[in-house]
Amino acid sequence: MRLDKLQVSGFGHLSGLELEFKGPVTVLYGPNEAGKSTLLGFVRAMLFGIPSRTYGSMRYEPTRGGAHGGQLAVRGDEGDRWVIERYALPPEGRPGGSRSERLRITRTDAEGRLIEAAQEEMQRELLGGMSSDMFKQLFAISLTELQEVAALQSEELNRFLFHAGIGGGAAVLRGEKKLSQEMDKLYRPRGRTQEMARLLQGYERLRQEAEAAGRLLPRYNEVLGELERVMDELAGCEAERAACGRELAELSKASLIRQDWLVREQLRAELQSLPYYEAFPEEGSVRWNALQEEKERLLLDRAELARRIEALSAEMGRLAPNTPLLAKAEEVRSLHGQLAGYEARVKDMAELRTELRSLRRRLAECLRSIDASWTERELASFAGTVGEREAVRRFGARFSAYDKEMELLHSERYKLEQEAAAAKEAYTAAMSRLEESEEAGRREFTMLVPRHPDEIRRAWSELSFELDRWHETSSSRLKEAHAREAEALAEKQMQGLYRNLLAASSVLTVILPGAIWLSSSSVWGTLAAFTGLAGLDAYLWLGMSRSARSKHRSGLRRLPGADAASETDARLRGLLARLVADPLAAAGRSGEAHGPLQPEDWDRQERELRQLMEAALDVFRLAEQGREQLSRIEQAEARLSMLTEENAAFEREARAIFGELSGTASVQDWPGEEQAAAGREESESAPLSVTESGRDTGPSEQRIASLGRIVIEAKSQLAAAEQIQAERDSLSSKLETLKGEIDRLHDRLKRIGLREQELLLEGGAASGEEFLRRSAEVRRRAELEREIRQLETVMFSGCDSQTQGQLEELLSSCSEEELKDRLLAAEKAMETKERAWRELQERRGRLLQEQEALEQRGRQEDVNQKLAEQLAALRDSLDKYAVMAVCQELISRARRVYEEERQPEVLRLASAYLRTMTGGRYERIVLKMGSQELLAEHRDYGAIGSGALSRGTAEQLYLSMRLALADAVSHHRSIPLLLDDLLVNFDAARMQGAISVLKEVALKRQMIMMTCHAHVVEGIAAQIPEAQIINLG
Amino acid sequence: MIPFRFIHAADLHLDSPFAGMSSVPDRLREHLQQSTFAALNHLVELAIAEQPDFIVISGDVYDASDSSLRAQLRLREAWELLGRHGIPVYVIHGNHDPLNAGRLRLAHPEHVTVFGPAAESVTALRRSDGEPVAVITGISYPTSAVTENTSLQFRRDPSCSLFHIGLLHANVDGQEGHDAYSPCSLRDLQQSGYDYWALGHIHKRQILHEAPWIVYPGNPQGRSLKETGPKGCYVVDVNGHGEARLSFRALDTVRWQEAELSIEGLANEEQLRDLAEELLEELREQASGRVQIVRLVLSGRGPLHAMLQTGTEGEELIQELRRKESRRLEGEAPGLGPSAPVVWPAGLKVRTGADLDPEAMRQEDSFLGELLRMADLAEREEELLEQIMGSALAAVSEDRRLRMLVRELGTEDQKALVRQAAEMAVSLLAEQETKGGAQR
Repeated sequence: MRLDKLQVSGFGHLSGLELEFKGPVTVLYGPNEAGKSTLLGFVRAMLFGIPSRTYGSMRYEPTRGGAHGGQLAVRGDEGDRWVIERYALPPEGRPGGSRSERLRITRTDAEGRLIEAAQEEMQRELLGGMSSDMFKQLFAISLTELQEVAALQSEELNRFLFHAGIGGGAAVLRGEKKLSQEMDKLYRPRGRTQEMARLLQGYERLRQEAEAAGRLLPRYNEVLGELERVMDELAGCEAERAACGRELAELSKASLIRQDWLVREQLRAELQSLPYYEAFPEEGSVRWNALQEEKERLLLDRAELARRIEALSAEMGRLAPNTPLLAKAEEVRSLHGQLAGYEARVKDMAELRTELRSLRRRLAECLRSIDASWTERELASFAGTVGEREAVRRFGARFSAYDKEMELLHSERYKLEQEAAAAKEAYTAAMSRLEESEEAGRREFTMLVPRHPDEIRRAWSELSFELDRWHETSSSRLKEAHAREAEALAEKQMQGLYRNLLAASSVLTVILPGAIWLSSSSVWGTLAAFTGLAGLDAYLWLGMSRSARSKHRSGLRRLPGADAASETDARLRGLLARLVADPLAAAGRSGEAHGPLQPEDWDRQERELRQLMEAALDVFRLAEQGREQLSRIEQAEARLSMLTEENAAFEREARAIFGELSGTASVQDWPGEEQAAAGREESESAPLSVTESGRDTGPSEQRIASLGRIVIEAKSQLAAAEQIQAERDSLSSKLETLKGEIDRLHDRLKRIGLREQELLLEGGAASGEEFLRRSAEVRRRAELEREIRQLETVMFSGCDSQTQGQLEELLSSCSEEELKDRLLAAEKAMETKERAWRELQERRGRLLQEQEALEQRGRQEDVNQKLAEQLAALRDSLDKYAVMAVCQELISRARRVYEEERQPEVLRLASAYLRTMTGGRYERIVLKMGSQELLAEHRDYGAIGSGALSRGTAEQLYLSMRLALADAVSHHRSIPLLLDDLLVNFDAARMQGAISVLKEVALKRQMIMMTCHAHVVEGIAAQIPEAQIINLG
Repeated sequence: MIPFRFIHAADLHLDSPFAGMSSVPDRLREHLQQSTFAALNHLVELAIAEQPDFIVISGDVYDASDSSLRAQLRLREAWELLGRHGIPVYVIHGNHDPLNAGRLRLAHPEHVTVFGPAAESVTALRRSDGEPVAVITGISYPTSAVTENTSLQFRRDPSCSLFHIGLLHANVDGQEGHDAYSPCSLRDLQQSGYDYWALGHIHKRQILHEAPWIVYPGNPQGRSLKETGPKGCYVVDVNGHGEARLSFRALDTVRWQEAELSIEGLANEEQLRDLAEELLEELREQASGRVQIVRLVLSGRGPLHAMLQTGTEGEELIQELRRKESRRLEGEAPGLGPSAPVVWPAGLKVRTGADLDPEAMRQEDSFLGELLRMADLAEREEELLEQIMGSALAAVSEDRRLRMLVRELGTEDQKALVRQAAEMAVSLLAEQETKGGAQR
């Protein structure tokens, strides 16, 4: 194609410019700012569109008016005429910022047809589909574009060239870059952080783990084998250990029992030396000794007995019996028995005589008191007149009736008075006492307190009982006294007693209930006691006043009941003394409230009367007495005579007996026999004359005494004889016993002898000594046997016979030292075995544990799978990498094809251009395959890297390359070249060379050159005279 | 002939890890780990339920290279359980568990017959009456690599009328993808006179021939994305006429799937995601209680291609799907119950192409055209392929481990890589291409 004409409507500072290109070369000459570069831009803009606003200066907004754009007239290779009209639209009204322009492309073909064409069509038809960039790089070149090559230089250059020349060059570049980036991410030799490197590391790690896991099986097998071995060893070891243990046990047992064993051996030897006796009696020596002992004892007993018999016999010989006396023993004893009666009678007789005498005296007195003239006879004849006696009796009866009546009246009055007074007094006393009761009670309490309430109660009941009794007796006595007139003394006593009793009783009345109350705190008991005591007080008081009254009628006689009364009194007093510590003090303290009441005297008349009556009664009574005494005298005399008789009988009998007994010897003992008889006769007559008989009692008494002595002596002799006899009897009986005993001893001795013989026989001994020896031996033997048995039990208990045998053998074969040594050795061996066994056990345990652990681990192991996964990941990565690597390889190979098959033509051409430009100084251009560096080969210095070239030469190199590439790229189209002042850095020669090259190129394509340098224009004009030179001036 | 029943299984690969998966949640890993054991348990359960007269296992019971103690222990347990039920087991060792490899020291129980390194025969009895029913011949790998044709050692005793079963761990007719151990031909086996060849080694279930039966039962539990589909064993009923009837029984608890997704017509990644989710749900419905491991293969040409090719969208999609499944894993109590079994997206394979006419591009006189032409050439010419791979992966090969991995790449893998790389180049450069306009 060819640019024919351009019309600039408005572009940069150009406006309304119109240029027509003629000829193959046009030079646009003009100073700076003439618009040369703007024109370059204008052509680009016309062909490829006005650059959008984003490109700024490249857009060339018109500054001097005119519509932004213009028109370009182009002639195609086939002769078509193209008119490209392009105006940029103002920004307003066309929002969006996209390229907004008004474009009109018209094509007029050879036949003159006018066809509207689209941009694409135009580009394809005119530019061979060349891109705007490529056009800019290769065909519309300013210094900037030229130096762009320099900027990209070296490794990029090659690609830039491809980019400039080959389709997809940029993509190849980008693709390669991307690929190598990606690949670098995956893998770099000796890199450590890339994906594959990491995977590899992981893989190696896992593989090691897997190897470790792989060792589990062999290890397991080892463990199994080892376990088998250990089990075998263990079994062997156990057997050995057991054997060792047995030996050790045996040895230790042996050493343990060795002492015992030695003892046993000794014992055995001793046993061996002892003779053996068949059937020696059991317990022989003991029995023998017992027999001997008994025998000895019996012999001793026998000797003793014999001695005693001898003594007894001697004793008996010494005791001679008094046979005649003993024969009369009965008689003597009876005499002796009667002797007491005899003596009593003698005494009675004496008493009777005295009584007789006193009776006679009293009788005489009585007679005298009746009348001095009276004798016994008169008395005996006195009988008394009945009339007189009756008169007296009647008189007395009347008197007593009178007394009775008086007393009744008295008692009536007193009773009433006393009752009132007593009631009143009791009341006041009670009241006053009650007030004092506490104190008094407490004071009296000292007397009473020590006593136990029970005792008090008992004493009290006793007291009340005694009081009752006393009351009874005293009332009966009072009755008597009433009848007979009680004696004054008794009365007085009574009264004193009463007073004391009353006082004590009163005190008790107050105190006792208090005491009982205090001690027993029983109200009822207290009340009962109080009432009882009050009653007693009243009674006592009454009794006292009565006795006081009866005193006035006192008689001289003592009452028979007085004794009993006084006894009762004494008891009462005693009781009171028991009850009251100090009855008298108590009575004293009771005060003199009850003073003795003195009754008034009876009148004299009455007394005299009574005296008279009493005198009469006395006479009668004396007569009575006299008679009575007479009768009693008679009785006494009768009795005296009877006694005398009896004594005489006794005396006779005694004499007879003694006469028989003593013969002549005892005759003189009876000197007063005759005198006695005489005395007896004499006393017979005594009643007749009392005064005489009293005189001759002397000889009789003497006689009686000797008789008694004789009897008593005989009696004592008899007793002695009897004693001797009794002794003899006892001795003889003892003798008998002893004799029997001696017999028995003999029997037993004999029996013992027999048994001795038996024992000797049984023991096979000839004598006792031998028997004893044998017995000792037998005992020793038994002892030895027992000891041996014991020792054997100690030694061998729990051992079977075999073990025992072994032990015996061991003990007999070894000395102690040997045994000890062997024991030590065995212990050591045992220890060793034990240790070995334990070790084996431990090893087995460890192995079992390891086996288990291995199984456990084996079951859990997943490293192989992980390894496979890692490998898979690695493979995936490798795959990815390989694809990219192959891709890269393919690209590089394809590029090499381009480089090798196509580039050389470009380079050849470029080399030719450069040679021409440099005048042959640089011969050719070389592209290094490895570094892809562009080199210029100097004629002399060889290849020089484009970077090392001088600026001018480098530009020449680039220009050559571009021109060559433009040829290669444009194929068969002639696309005009627009060069904007590229030759400024060339020296003259080079410029000439360059121009000659351009001239050559201009043969193939239209060339438009812009310059501001006149020498350039001149140079061109010189070489290319036909060049159209347009001065833009 | 006496009718009887036996079970044929092979390649248990106990406790061998699952290959080709990464970023597995612990719970799922646990389940995966248990899956080979679960398959073994299922086998034992099946045996107890079906009451076969014996079980034959044609090698590779475990991976000796893993040296898994757990595998040994669990195997022992399984043997014991079978022993308690009186079910005899006939086992040979394969290339993964050769006789010289480490295993549990304990002797095999009596009811487990392990064949030695030379072919030997035993007579199997019917359990019900102790009648001899079959002759079982087996040979174990003494080492991991057996390169001779051991099938030739199997010679039928012509006088014996019993059913003959041969246990062999071998690659028949050199099948691809498995080491050519104990190589033999189908003809060798057919001519041996054996009635049933119980084979192992190839994990893909296949019946190579009927009467005589030449059978690979496949492994009872898939362990990688290469081992997709139902996995199990065969229950073989032999009738009175010596005719066998095979029925397949699935034993797997984790099933591998590959699911293809076309991106054609998909405008954006949301649509792709919805589609992927739909696909997973579809699979879930078919799960029948198993955990499924799915690799999504994106195919077709569409606008998403470039994004998938260069960007991280594919990775993000997978991550999102995994997140959902993880929630399901966590939400579901340990059982991973049948109600909503997990469908785990193990990976994403991008096999998409740009929305361009590849043929046109290939013809183009452009950089890309040049590149594609070169890729095509590389697929055709192995030398070029080697060159490209060699120089592309030179950097990687500096690392020993990576070098090994690179070496593992097969020709097909390499070609696939080149294709992918070409696609990548297209998506990288195409954009510029359109702009740059070196087209005609």
